Amino acid sequence: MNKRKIIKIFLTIVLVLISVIALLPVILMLFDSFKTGSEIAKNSWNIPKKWTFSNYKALMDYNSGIMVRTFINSLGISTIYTAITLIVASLAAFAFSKYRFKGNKVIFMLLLITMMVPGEITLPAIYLMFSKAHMLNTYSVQIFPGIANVFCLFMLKQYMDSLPNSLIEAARIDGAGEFYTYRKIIVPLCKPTIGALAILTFLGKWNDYLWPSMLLTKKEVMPIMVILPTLNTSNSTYSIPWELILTGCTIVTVPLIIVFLIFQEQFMASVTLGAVKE
Amino acid sequence: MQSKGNASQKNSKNSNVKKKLIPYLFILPFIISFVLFFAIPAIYSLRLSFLNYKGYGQAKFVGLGNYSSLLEYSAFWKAVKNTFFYFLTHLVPVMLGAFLIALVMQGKAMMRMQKVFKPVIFLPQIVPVMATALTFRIIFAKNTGAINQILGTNAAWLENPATMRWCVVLMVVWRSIGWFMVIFLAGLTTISKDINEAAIIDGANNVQIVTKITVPLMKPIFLFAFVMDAIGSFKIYTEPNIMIAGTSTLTTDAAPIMNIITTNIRGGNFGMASAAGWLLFLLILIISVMEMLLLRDKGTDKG
Amino acid sequence: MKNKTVKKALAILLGCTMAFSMVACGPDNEGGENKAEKTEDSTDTGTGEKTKLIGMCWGSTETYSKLSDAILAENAELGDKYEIEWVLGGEGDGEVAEKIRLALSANEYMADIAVLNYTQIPEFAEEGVLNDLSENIKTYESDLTPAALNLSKYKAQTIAVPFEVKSKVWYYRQDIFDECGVDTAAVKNTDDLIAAGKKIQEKYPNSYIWNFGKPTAGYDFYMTLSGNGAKFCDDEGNYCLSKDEGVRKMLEDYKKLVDAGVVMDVADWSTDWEAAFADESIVSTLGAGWLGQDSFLPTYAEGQKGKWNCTTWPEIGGTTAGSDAGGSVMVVPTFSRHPEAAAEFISYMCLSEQGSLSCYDITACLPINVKAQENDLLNEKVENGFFGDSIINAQLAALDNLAIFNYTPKAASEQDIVTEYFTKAIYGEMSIDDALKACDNDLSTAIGNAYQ
Repeated sequence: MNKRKIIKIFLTIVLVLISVIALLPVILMLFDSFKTGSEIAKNSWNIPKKWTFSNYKALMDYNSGIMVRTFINSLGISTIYTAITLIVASLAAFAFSKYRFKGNKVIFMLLLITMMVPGEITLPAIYLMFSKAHMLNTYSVQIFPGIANVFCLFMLKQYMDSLPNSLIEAARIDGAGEFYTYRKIIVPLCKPTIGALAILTFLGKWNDYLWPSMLLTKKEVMPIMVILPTLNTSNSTYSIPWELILTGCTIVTVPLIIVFLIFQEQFMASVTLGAVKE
Repeated sequence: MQSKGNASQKNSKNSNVKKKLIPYLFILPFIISFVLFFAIPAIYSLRLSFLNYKGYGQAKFVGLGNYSSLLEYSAFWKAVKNTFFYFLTHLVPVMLGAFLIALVMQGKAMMRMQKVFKPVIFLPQIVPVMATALTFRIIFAKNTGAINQILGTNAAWLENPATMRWCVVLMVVWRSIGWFMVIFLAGLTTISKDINEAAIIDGANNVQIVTKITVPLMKPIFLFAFVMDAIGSFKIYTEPNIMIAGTSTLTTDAAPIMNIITTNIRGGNFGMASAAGWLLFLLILIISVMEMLLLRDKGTDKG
Repeated sequence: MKNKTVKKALAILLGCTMAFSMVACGPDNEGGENKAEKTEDSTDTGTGEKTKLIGMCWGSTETYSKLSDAILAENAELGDKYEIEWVLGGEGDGEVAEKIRLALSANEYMADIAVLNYTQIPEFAEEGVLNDLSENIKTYESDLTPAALNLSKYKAQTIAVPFEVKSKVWYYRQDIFDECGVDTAAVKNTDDLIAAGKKIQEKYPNSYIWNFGKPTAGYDFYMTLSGNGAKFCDDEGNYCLSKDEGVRKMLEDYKKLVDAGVVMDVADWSTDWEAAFADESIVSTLGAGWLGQDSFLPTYAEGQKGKWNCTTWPEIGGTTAGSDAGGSVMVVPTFSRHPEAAAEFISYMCLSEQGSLSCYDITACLPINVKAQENDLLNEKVENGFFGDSIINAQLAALDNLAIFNYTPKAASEQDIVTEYFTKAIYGEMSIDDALKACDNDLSTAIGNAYQ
């Protein structure tokens, strides 16, 4: 009995330590957002001596509200990207899974093979293509490359394969059209997979830095991730205000944490997609 | 009934044609997007890799010139070394750490605590990469950094070529342990408790259970995690760049392969950039092929 | 349940923002269209329609806006015809060059005027994408120093308006030097400089007479290389740094300075560097004319007015001659929508007597127009300035010695590659021989040939 208790206490302590390490940087980021620049210079890791909201105000006004604009950009682009990707992938997955048509197996095989090719290979080409089409500083260039997500397609098809065909037969006998079947029957049944994929896709786009930083130069269309590291206090690029930058980090992080705490199950499910056969 | 039969025959013929088209309609948006935004750019990039093109003016054909230049370019090999460094140095701590934590959390002792600890340890993964990189950048900063302020030192962690990469690795480990812990936890729960019980009855102690039963059964998951991590690691970009250099150019001492691609795009050398991209693909291909071969072996063994 | 409403919301957002993106789809084109109309207006009717020019610069748009505002205010004729907006290309000249390449590849209009360092001129001039400015330069030719005229040309083309002729200037704290018994006139070469630095450190152990840092700013190297005849490649464009005497001498001298401990390990433009002037860790620095402008050294060393003085460089790396990239210039790329207007405007702004006087206010560089140099107004401004008249005298003295580095069309990429190795060499992380060999290697594999 005693041994068990000791082990339990020991393990708990270990886990608590690990949790603290996991939380420390986040807490630091949070605290620093309430400190002035000069306080950060002296004390960047402790509780703020003087709590101030000036950073948040400064960020809102920064460069005529560019932070707000880019935050909305990020939100809009990630949402639309996720929506389009999932719609396109689920439509195709439905066809691959439930229909027999010429080329079904072959096309699917070919698509699967391309999963190995990293999207980054197309970066120079997309850059040139969009620049020659004069679409380089737009929202389209941030949304359209990459909406054909073979991973989503594959996951959805797997899941749909497991749905009994009898459901579709029943719907057909009742006179349902194909699209109706898709919309009202298949999609609702795939909710768990769609939810998990939505989270993965959204987070991937929200976090994206490489693509927007290479393709965009106009501040108005950038996502917030690209603007964040470039914050500076005057029109020049020479002085870096850490307090503002960490405040910006907090602003991008806190909403995600809140959503995470609410939708924990779905987040965890998205991690194990494809990894573990449940 | 009969007249209905005739009409329904005609209808069924129309609907037959319709029926045949429907699946194609369903896959059409995907195929179009795929061809337009992936296949064509990929082929264009392959073509570019054989050219010397500034983006304007004339394009010169150079055959395999870009590839051979890259393979001789010391900065390219430094980038490969850096990428492997980031990958291999974080692999063991992350995998080991995540597995151990998962074991602990899964044991009878900690079951109830799981609800609290699981989301907390996973939290670093939720923090956006950019925010993490910037926060760690200030943690390691020379004068205003938390580490220097707490330890009272004035070390330039992020400017010293010997230490800067380790800082990146630290950040990646901090961030990734939670992700793999969740994967391993899920894997552990699929292992039937009966096997463990049987082993205990047979007199096995905890360590033996873990090493002789759990680990072999988790092999496919380990493999999956390894490959996913590898592929992601080869494409690493945001972490080293933002953390060490902010918005300026990253020194070749710490630059990953992606930087070769981005530097060349910025410098207008689209041929080199594309060639570097395809070399990166080759690297990833080799790893993916290794996975497929290993999995196939495991598949036949499992029976 | 949650997912259903989420999906509905997504669908609505989808619709709205697709519409939004269609509208916002071509922000570039939109602006472009309007400007096209404007051109026709101003050339056809010549009524009160002002031609709007766009200029791209680096670092900060504030300086250029102030300058152009001043010019348009004092010259009524130009003020009626033109207005100009400055946009930021990025942190440095490299970013402006990037934007130009981008605009060229997309066949897009980016700006009418671009500010560059002479470093980038060979690349664009070779491609023939800079408008000819010989007529405009001719108007002011007789009043320009030969150094400035050199900056306007590349081989047979006249394609740039010189803006800042950046001769080398040594800034130092006269009061501290006096206190430690250092006489700059007696500092003639690297060894003297080291001795001076050590003398100062006897009284001020934490003070330095220069700074390099990791990475060292490219221009720190090029300022010496431009004077001692260094070349990266032979006439055919094959890279041969290992054989070049000038590069080697520069590296040896800089390494001596680092090893002697008189140079601070802090990089230009870092916050630590700016603070170093304020807390007197940096008591002298060898730079170029532009460092003396109000927004730079005078700002960092606030409160030290009257304590700083200027003089010419000692002989380092085998030379006192040279410049910082020759200087910065303004060009009119071929995608400009108002090439003649742009040319007229920048020539006046940089080269006329009035214009170059105003330029001095902003850049602290010696006015390009000879008449301006002798102008009383200039003397007045100078006397009241942060450095007194020493900054002008130093630049005048260095003017005869002005030399421009042998930039090739691949200069931008070359600079990226060599700067890293040079920094390693002077800090002892690589031997100079190894660094030079590595440069040659990387330059030939990454760039190939300098001229092709």
